[in-house]
Formats: sequence, structure tokens, C-alpha cells
Amino acid sequence: MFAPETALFSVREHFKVASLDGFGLKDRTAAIGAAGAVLHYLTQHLRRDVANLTRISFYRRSDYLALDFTTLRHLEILEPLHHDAPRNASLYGALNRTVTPMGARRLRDWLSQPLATVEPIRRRQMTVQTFVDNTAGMEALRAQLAQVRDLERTLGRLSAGTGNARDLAALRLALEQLPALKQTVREIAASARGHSCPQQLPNLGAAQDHASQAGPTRSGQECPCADARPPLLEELEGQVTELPALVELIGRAIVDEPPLAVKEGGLIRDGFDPALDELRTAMRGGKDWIAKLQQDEIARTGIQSLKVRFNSVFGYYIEITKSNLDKVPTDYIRKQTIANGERFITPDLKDMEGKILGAEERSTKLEYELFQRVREEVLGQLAAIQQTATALAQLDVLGAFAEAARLYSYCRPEIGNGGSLFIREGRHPVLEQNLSEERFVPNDVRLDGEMQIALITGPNMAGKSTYIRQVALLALLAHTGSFIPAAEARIDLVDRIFTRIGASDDLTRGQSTFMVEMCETANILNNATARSLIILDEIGRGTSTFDGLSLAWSIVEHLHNQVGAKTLFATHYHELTELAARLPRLKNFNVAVREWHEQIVFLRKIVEGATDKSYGIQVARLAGVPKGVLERAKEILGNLEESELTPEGNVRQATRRQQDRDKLKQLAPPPQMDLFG
Amino acid sequence: MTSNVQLTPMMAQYRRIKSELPKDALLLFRLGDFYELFFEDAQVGAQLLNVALTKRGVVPMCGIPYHAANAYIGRLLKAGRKVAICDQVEDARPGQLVKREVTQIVSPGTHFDERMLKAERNNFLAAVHPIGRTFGLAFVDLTTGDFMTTEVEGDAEALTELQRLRPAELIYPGDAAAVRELLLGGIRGAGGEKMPLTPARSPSDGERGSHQPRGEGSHAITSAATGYGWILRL
Repeated sequence: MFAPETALFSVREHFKVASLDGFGLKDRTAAIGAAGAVLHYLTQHLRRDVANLTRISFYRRSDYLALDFTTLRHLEILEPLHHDAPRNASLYGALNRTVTPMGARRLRDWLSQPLATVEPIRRRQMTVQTFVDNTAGMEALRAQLAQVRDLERTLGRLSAGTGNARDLAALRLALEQLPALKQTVREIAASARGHSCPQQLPNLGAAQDHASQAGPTRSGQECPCADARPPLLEELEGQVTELPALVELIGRAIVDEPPLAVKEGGLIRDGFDPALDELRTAMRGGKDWIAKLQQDEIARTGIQSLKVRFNSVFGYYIEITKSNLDKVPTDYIRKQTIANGERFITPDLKDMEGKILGAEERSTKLEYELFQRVREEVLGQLAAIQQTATALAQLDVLGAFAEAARLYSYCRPEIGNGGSLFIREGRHPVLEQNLSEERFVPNDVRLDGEMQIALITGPNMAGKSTYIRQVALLALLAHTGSFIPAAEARIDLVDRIFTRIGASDDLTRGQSTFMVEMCETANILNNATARSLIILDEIGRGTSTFDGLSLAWSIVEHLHNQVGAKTLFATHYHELTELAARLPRLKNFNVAVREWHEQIVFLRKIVEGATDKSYGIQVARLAGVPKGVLERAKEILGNLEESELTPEGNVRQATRRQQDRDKLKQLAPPPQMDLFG
Repeated sequence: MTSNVQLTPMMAQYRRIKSELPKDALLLFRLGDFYELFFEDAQVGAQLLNVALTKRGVVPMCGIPYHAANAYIGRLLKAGRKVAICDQVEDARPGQLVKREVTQIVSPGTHFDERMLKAERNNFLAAVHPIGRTFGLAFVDLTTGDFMTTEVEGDAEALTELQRLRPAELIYPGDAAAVRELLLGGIRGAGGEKMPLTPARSPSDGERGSHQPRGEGSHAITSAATGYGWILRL
């Protein structure tokens, strides 16, 4: 079933086309093989109905920002690294303000597959901007979207045959929203026309100015960006198809709150089908007759407690209590004796019962047929509804971006194809939302042709890792078309984001911390380009200090001289700060710390310059290491720093640190330096 | 089963229906108020579902009540199994063999069970088709109608895409050593994070299923041609 001819045949047959070129599958033998295999497997192997698959899309990975699994995982894009972390402790969790499951699924898709070209990103940005500028419109739209719920899966169930009348009712509710929803989108789009040019609108603040002077700019002649395609918002609006006939049909056919079961009746409205109405009249007539029978028989027999009842074993019967058995008329036929009485039937009662049950059986059967007929009508519009759902999902995500932007004062990053990454007062999108006590301290970053590598040193816990992750997250987010938590940003597109973060032993898979680190590093060094963004959090931690330092040193040199990728490198090796003197595009940064009576206060601010202290002992104190141990550590540290050897101090290599530094300073510059000068 | 057993008409019907199914599908055979599993399926089912293994005559059997079937089917899917559901398609008449048909075959990547689907996530069935270094990938979510395909170069790219979309089920050509290598070897050379894969069943286990995949987040990977299964934990 993977064989080229078979696969090609399966796919062509399914979509009823003579050629697959229209799907972008021309000469894509491998992709067609996979697509054909899936279809064959579903239809032949699992005997499934695949009418739901009305379209196939071919995508190229090169149209998207490349994120490998390590990066997705360690940047916690879709879910937190640790399963017990709160659900919103991921980028997806922080940004998910969607109002439909379709939108939520689309958001996951957009976050794990950001765009890699300027135009599509700008189109999304413009839509987000439009929403942000028109809060009232956006809120109306989001309220309407929420009513649509999971249109895709409702349709999926109906198509697969597992759907029920509730799905039809849900579908109707969704489709009913569309005219008003389209109107809302049109109004929002109209309000935006003329002032959605990205070149002139680097951030939120500028929007109003531009709008006020925009007046007659309808055709967008003054906008360099308003040339080819219509704005995304208008395009999406056009993809939403109103289906009034279907809404009317479902509304007429299906009751407001249908039961789950489709074969037990009670789902079709009166007046929809004459045959059904007739059967129902017969049933109701019969039931009225039976209700009347009870009164008549009470009057005839004088037994006040006489009851006409129904159960599934005997059907209808008359129940008489023990004390009244002497009054039972002779035409009653005894059926059953129970603890406190007896049950009887009469020929007339059984006759009517037959009529009622017959009508009931026929009417439930008919209801099921009518349900299927309505369902068929829905399936006739499958492709149109799916396209509608796709457009709504995108509107939902764009609305969610705008909502996040509004709630947390995000800015619209300027994007382009230059080589800079500039963020002023950037914040970590996830941590910012989870901080309750303190305010998140914003930080800047600037990387470009002159400033390629930022080397960040500073004590543990000070916020080095947070900072470099934040930069990666903001860069990624900018590629999705979302706004970002910053005061101002220029983010030129990158081809890939690499991360080497954290060191988790992977004993179950037989890999040591160091091996994992080096595998990730090798991947980066082998695949990064000058257009990549690299986040390195501690290299060489898993091995001896000197091995680690040497590796880190040469890795940084390689990134600087050979690769040229924008890099943020957080490290505890203070020795690496010496590199700033030898590598022109590398700059030192550290995390500001204030010492206060032997205590330390983390200021969480990234500042230029190297740091020479690691504050390890202070951090150990914060962690609650016993006082005696801290005192002794301070003593040893003192000795090491003074290069003093005490007879009983057990510290013999104290001068090595200084010696090492001297040696590093003497290292000849690597020959490749000239390449980049 | 032993060959000298005289089959009752119903068991003959069972064997016929079973023989028409994919080898790795467990057959749930409707018998009155129960779905029954027989023979090897009964052994597998009893273990996975933690229900009593009994006998009908000499035939191993275990059963699940019809009204609670969905919950049990869900557990089989979670364990990475395919389940063929065989229903009585006419009213039972005394003394006559009731007509039965397989009404659906569900699998981890193709089911519609609301209790297992996550609203915020797609549930993909994937196919991998390697031609040289090029991997053709296809992803289908029957519940939403999504159907995408792509081509990538090399193992690392293929794995990245699989890991991103996390198919619940994956099919590949039975003779494609490249895919097996890919799934076995993990992400070597493409970053430190290894593709966390554990074989669900080794070929020698056949259908005995001695290492049945279990637990939350399990994803079945089955070679359609050989029934050779892999389980993917992400």
C-alpha cells in the first residue's frame, strides 16, 4: 500500500482528481506514498469512512522556523518540562486565550511551527493590531466564536457516523452565529482599513496617530504593504460560508434538547414530517384513550385506587389492590398476582396497546431515518463547513494574541530580514503571568552584526537562565505573528532556534549528563548558520572544571569565528569573560547583585560587564546549608583567593586559579579570527 | 486452538470473522449482553483489562458487559491495540445463529472516544514512507478532518516532525529497515534528546503480547504489513 502506483491511485481515487499537482504533490513520491498508505490503511484495513478528509495539504518545513524537539521541550513551548508543574507553565498555557478547542489546537500548531517569512507574519500582526485597536469589536467577535465551540469535531462525529442529534443541534448553534460573526469581522476590518501598515506602526502607541490622519487612505496607496493580497482578516471572512438553508433544516427537524440516543425517538420536531406526525397522533390518541380508561374504569367499578400502568414485560395492565379484588368486573383477565394486589388486562386494552406500540416502533424507526437524512444534508456541505471551521480557528488564535497583548501590554515587534535582535524591556511571557508577589524585572537585549555573542555570568539563581530563555521565547513568539511582552522590539527573522539548556541525567536511556550536553552541542555546532539564534545555558558542567572550561572556550570561539550565529551564553565559568578581549563581537554581561551584610539581593537586572564572584557561599546560605559548613567554606575560599597554603588547611592547589588565568591570557588567538576580522 | 475441536456454528462464525480481520486486531464478539474475546484474544484481553479468563467448552474466553464496553475499549486503545467490534445485526431468534458483522475497527490513532481525546489536541494517525534519505510523512486526524503531508530529508528532520505532532499511531512499510532504524536509533546526531522509544512487542513475541504497552501517554506504532509494533512515549 506504500507502493508508488497504489498510493497515487488511492489518493487520486479519494479526492476524485486526475492529477495531484493541485495539492502541491507534483513529483512528491514519498509524500504521496505516505498519504496513499494512510488512506488505504483507513479504508481497507480498518474499514473506516474517510469522507471527512475533504482536502490534503502539502507543507514544506522550510516555510517554517525550525525548532527541534529539544528546543520545544526545554523552552516549554507546548507543555511544562515537569508533568507536575501547573498547566499554564508553558508558552502555550500563558498565551492560550482562545475561546474554542479549534483555536486551541491551532494555537499549539502555530507555536510549535512559527513562520519563517516576513509577509505572512506581517499579515497576522496586522490582524492582531486591528483587534487591539478595536477592543469592542474583538470582544463581540470572541463572544460569537465561543458559541461555535468545536465545529471540527462535531462535524467529524457526524461524518464518521458516531454523531447524534445533539451534534446536529450544536452544528446549528454554530452555523447560526455565522451571519452576525461575518458582519462583526467586516466591521472590524472596515474600522482598520487604511491604518494597518507595519512600516509605520512599530508598536501599539502609534496606531491611533496613524488612524486619525488616515482618513481617505482606503485604497492603501500610501501603504507600501497594501499591494497584493487582501488583509488576512478579509480573507478569513471570505472563507466563512453562511449556510442558512442548513440552519433552517436542522432547526425545523431537530428538537431543542435532543437525547443522546438516535434510535429511541424523541429527536425530531412535530411538523417536520407528515408521516411521523401521523404516527405520533396515533400514539397520543392511544395514550389519551388509556388515560381516559383509568377514569372510566374507576367510575364503572367504584375502585378509587384502580390504576392503569405500563411495564416492558406485560405492556399495559390494570392494577387492583387486594382489598378491592371482590369488585373486579368479569371481563377482566387476570395476568399476574403481586404482593398487595393483582394485575389484569382487557381485550380492548391489549388492542390499543398493539396500536400504540406499533406506532411507537414505526415512529422511532422513522425518526432515525429522518435524522440520517438531515445528516446527509450536512455532509453535502462538508468541505464548506470545514473551510469555515479552519478560518474560525485562525480568527480565534489571532483574537487570543490580541487579548494577551491587551491584558499584558505586549508590543508589536518590527520584523524584517536584517540581522538584528533588539528587545527593550522584554519580559518572560510565562513567568510574568505567574508572579504574584513581585513585579517581573524587564531586561533588554541587543544582538546584531557587531554584537553577536552575549556572555552572561553571575551567581546561580540570579536569573541568567530566565533571561536567555526569555530572549528565545520572545524571538519565537515574534515569528508566530503574536505581539510580545516588551516595550519595543525589532526582531529580524532567524532560520532556527537552538537551545542547550539544563542538564538532566538520562540514566534510563544510558546517557550521562555530559553525553547529553555534548550531543546537543554537537547538533548546534553542526547545523547552526549565521541566521540562527542559539541559547546556551552552562556548557561542560557535567565534566571536570578544566575539561568543561576548555570545551566552553573553544565552542564560543567556534560560534564567533565560524558560525556567526546570534548567541546568548550563560555560564558560571568566570574565566570565559577573558574572551571579550579577544573576540570583537562578544560582550560580557552579568546579573546585578547587591551584597548586604553578607547576604545577597538579586536585582534580576542584566548589566554590561564581567563579574568575578559567584556568590556560591551566599547561595548556599539561602539554601540552608549549616553554619559550620559555611564558615569553613569561607575560610577555604579565603585561602584559595589569597593563594595561601596552610599546613593543615588541606588546600594545596590554591595558586592554580591564578596560574590558569595567566595561561589563558597567553593563549594565541585562533587563526580563523582573520576571517571575520 | 486445537484442531480436533468440533466447532459449534457460532464458533465457526467467530473463526470466519476473525480470519478476515487484520492480524493484530482484538475481536470483540457480541454475545447477548456481553462482548466476548476468545482464544489468544481472550488471554491478551484478560491481562490488559484485568477481567477473569474463563472457558467456553475448551475455548479460552473473557467478556465485558455491553453497557460498559466503551470504557474497556478505551483501555485496549490506551494499551496501543486495535479493536474490532462485531455486533449482532439482526434480532436473535431461538434456535438460529444470529447474523453478526464487524461494525467498526478502532485504533489508537483513529478512535472517536471523547473520554480519551483531548479537546486541545489533535489525535493523529501518521504514515512514514522513506525513499532513500527522503521521508514522506502523512498525518491524518479523522476527528477534525486534518490531512497534511510533507517530505523531509534525513532522520533528524523526520523525527522532529513526528515528535512535534505526536501521532498516536504510526504505520510504515513492513520492509522499511530505514524506518525501524529511525525509530530504534532515536535522535542520535540531532541533539542530545533521544527519541524515547521502547519496543512494544518484539517479533518473536508474535501475538502473545508479553510486553504489552501500558500506561498513560502511550502511542502505538504499528507496521501495517507485519503487525510489528512500537510504542512511543513522548
